[in-house]
Amino acid sequence: MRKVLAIALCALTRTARDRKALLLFLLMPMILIGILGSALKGLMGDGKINPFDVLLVNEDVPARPPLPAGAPAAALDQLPVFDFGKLLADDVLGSDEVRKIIRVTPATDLEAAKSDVAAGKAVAVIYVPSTFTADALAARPATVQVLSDPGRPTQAEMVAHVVSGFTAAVTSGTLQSRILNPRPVQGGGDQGGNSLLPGSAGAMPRDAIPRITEVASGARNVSAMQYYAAAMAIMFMLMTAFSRAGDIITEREDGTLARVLVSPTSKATVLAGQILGSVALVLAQFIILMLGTRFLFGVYWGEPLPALLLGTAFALAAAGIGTAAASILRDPRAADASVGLVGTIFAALSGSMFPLYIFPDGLKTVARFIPNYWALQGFLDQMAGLGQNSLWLPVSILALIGVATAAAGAWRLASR
Amino acid sequence: MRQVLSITLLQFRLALKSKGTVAMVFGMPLLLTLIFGLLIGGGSDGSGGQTFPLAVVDSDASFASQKLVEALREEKTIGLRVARNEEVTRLFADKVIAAAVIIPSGFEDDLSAGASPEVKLVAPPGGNLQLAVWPVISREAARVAEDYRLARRIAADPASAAALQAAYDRVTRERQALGISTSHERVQRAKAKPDQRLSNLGERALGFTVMFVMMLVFSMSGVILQERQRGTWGRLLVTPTARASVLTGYLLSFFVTGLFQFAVLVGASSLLFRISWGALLPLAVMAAAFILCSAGMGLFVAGIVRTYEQQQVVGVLFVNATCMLGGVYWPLELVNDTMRRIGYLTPQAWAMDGFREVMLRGGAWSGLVRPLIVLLALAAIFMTAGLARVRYE
Repeated sequence: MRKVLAIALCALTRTARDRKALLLFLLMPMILIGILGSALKGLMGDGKINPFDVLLVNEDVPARPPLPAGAPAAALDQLPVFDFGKLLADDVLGSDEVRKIIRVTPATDLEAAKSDVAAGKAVAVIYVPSTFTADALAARPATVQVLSDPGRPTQAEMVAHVVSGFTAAVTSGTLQSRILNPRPVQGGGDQGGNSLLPGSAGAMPRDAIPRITEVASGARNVSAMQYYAAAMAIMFMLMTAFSRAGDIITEREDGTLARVLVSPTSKATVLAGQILGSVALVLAQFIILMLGTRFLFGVYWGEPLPALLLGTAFALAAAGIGTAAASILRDPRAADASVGLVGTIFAALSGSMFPLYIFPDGLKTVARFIPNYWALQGFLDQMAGLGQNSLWLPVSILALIGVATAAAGAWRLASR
Repeated sequence: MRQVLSITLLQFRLALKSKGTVAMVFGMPLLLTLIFGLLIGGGSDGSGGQTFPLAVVDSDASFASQKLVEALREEKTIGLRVARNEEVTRLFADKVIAAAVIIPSGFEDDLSAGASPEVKLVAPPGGNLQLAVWPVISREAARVAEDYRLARRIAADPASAAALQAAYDRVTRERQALGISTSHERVQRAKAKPDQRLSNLGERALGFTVMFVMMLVFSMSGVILQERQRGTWGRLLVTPTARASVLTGYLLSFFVTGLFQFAVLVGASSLLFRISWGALLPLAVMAAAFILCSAGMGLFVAGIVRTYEQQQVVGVLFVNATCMLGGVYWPLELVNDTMRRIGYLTPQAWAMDGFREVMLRGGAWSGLVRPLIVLLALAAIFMTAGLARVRYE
C-alpha cells in the first residue's frame, strides 16, 4: 500500500513542478471561465429585466356615460364622471408591479414623443386619444395606441401587454353592464370608474379578480459564470486525465517502468499507483478550480459535500478513461493528439462550449453517452439547489464508468 | 531567392507532415462547423420572434382553468408548455422555462362563489424575468374570470358544459364587438441599419476557420525556438545563407501555410456546407492581412518565452482566449458594451468584421479599409517587435 501511495504521489509532484502543465490545466480554464462567464452573461440570461423608459401622451378628456333613452336631459348631471386616461396613468402604469419594469414619463406632444422613440430614447409611446373615455362609455370603438421601437421588440410587447390589460378591464366593465342590463354603465358616484379596473375599490369587489402572487421556484437560476465554471472544469479535468495517459505510455517507452518492475514491486501495485495518481491529480485540479472560481468569480457550486462527491466521481471516470486510452494507444504523441481531439469533441457535444439548454433533443440524447454530460448536469443541479435527489444518478453513473474503464485499462496494460 | 523558397517549402512540408496535425488543422474546424453550425440552433437565426418560455400547471382541470390555459396558449409572445406540478423544478433547472403559472385547484369554485383565487407565478429567486409575462397573465386571468362569471349568469343552464360554452363564446364575441382595444405599431427607426446577417452555419464556418488558421500560424511561428533548442538554427546560420534570406524564408512559410489552410477550409466548407464566401480577391486580401497579423503575434510571443513548449502552450491559451473575446465563437452584438470594446482590442474582431463584409456585401473596398488598416498595423507592430527579439546565436 505504501508503494501504491508513493507512485501516486509521484504523479502529483511531477505535475506540480511542470510549469507548462500548470498553465494549461489551471490558468487556462480560469481565464476561459472568466471570459465566457462575463461575455455570455446577457445571452444565458441571469434572470434580470432592467426597467426601461416609456412616454405617455394622455389627451383623454373626462366624460359621462350617454343618457339612457328617454331620460330627461337634467339627469345627465346625476351620472358619474369617468376619466379612463387618468386611471391608466395612475392605477395601471403607477402600480407597484408595473413600476418595477416600466418608467413612465408624461409627454404632451405626440410627434415629439414619436421621434424620441425613433431616436431610441424610449422604448415606446402610449397615446390615449381625447375621446377615449367618451367612446368607451358609449360602446363605440376606442383605441389606446402603443407606438414602439422596432429594435426592442421584447420590451415593446411588455408595454403593449400592460396597456391591453387596461383596455381589457375597461371592456369588462362595459360588457357587464351591456349584457346584464342593456342600459349604459351605472357607477356609484364619481369614483365609479374605478370599478372597471381589477384590484381597485368600487362596485366590483376586490376579491373578484384572481390574485397573481409571485413565488420562488425550487430551482435557483444558474448564471453563465456558474455554468462555464462547471463546464470548463470538467473539460480540463478530462484533458488532464488524457495527458496522464501520455505519461503512462512514455514511462513504458522510456523503460522506467521496466526498471520499477525489476524492484520488488508487483505490476498490480504499479498500476494501482498510476490510476490512484491520476484520480488524485484530477481531483486536486478540480478542488483548485472550484476554490479559485469560488473566490475569484464568486461561483456558487452548491453545498460543498455534494460538489466534492461529484468532483471525485468525475475524477474517477476521467482517470479511468485516461487509463483505458493509455492501454489502447502506443505512441505518446498519439495520446497528445487525442487530448485535443477527443477532449474537444467530448466537451463540445456535452455542453461545455455551447450551453446544453440550446441543444436539440437528438443531440441531448447523444450527450448522455458522454461522461462529461453527467458531471455537468450533476453540477448544474447542485448549483440550482435541487439537492440530493438529483445527485445519486450522476454520481453512480460516473463512478461506474470510472471503475469499468479503469479495470479494463489496467487489465490490458498488465497483459502488455 | 532559391534559398528562401527552399526554406519555405521545407517548413510548409514539415508543418503538415504528421497525420495528427492534418486532422487537427483541417478536420477539426470542419467537424466543429458541422456540429455547431448544423446540429445546434440550425433553424433559428435569432432575428426577432422570441417567445417567453412559460409552463402552466392546471391543478383545477375545470372549464374556467382550461379557458385560462387556452388564452395563454394563444398568446403569440409566450411559448407555452403544459406541465405537472412535480415537473416544474426540473424544467427550471434545465432552463426550459423562465417562469411557471400554477392555477390552483378550486379556481373555478372560487370564481363562481365570487371569491378571488390565488394564481401563482413561479420564477427562480433573485431574478425578475417573470415580470415580462406578469402583464399578460394578470390580464388574461382577469378577463377569463370576468367572462366566465358573465357566461355563468347568462347561460341557460350553468351546469351543462355545452350551454356554458355557448354563453362563454357569446361573451367573447361581444367583447370583440365592443372594439375597445390597444393597437401596437412600430415606429420607423431614425437610423435604418442594414440588418443582414450571416446564417448560423456561415458564422460558425467563418469563426472556426479564423480560429484554426490563427492556431496553426501561431504554432508554426514557434518553430524558430524549436530549431534553436535543437541546434539546427545555429547550423543553418553557419551555411552561406544570408540571415535576411533565412528569416524571409521562415516568414514566407508561415504565410503560405496559413493561406493554404485558409484556402482548403474555404473550399471544403463551400463544397460541404454550401457556404458562399464572397468575391475571391477581397477574401484573399483579408486572409493575407489576418495571417500576417497572426504570424506577427506568434513571433512576438516566441520572442518573450524561452522554450518552444512554452510558446505552444501560451499560444493555445492566447488564441483561445482572444477568439472568445473577439467574437469568433459568437457575434459581438450579443455581448455588452464593455465586452465589445475589449473584443475590438483583438485582431479577430476586425478580421471577422472584414470577412463578414466580404461574405455579405461583396467586399467593396470602402468597407474593408478599416479592418485592413488595423490588421496590417498590428502585423507591422508585432512583427517588428518579434523580429527584434529573434536572437541569432
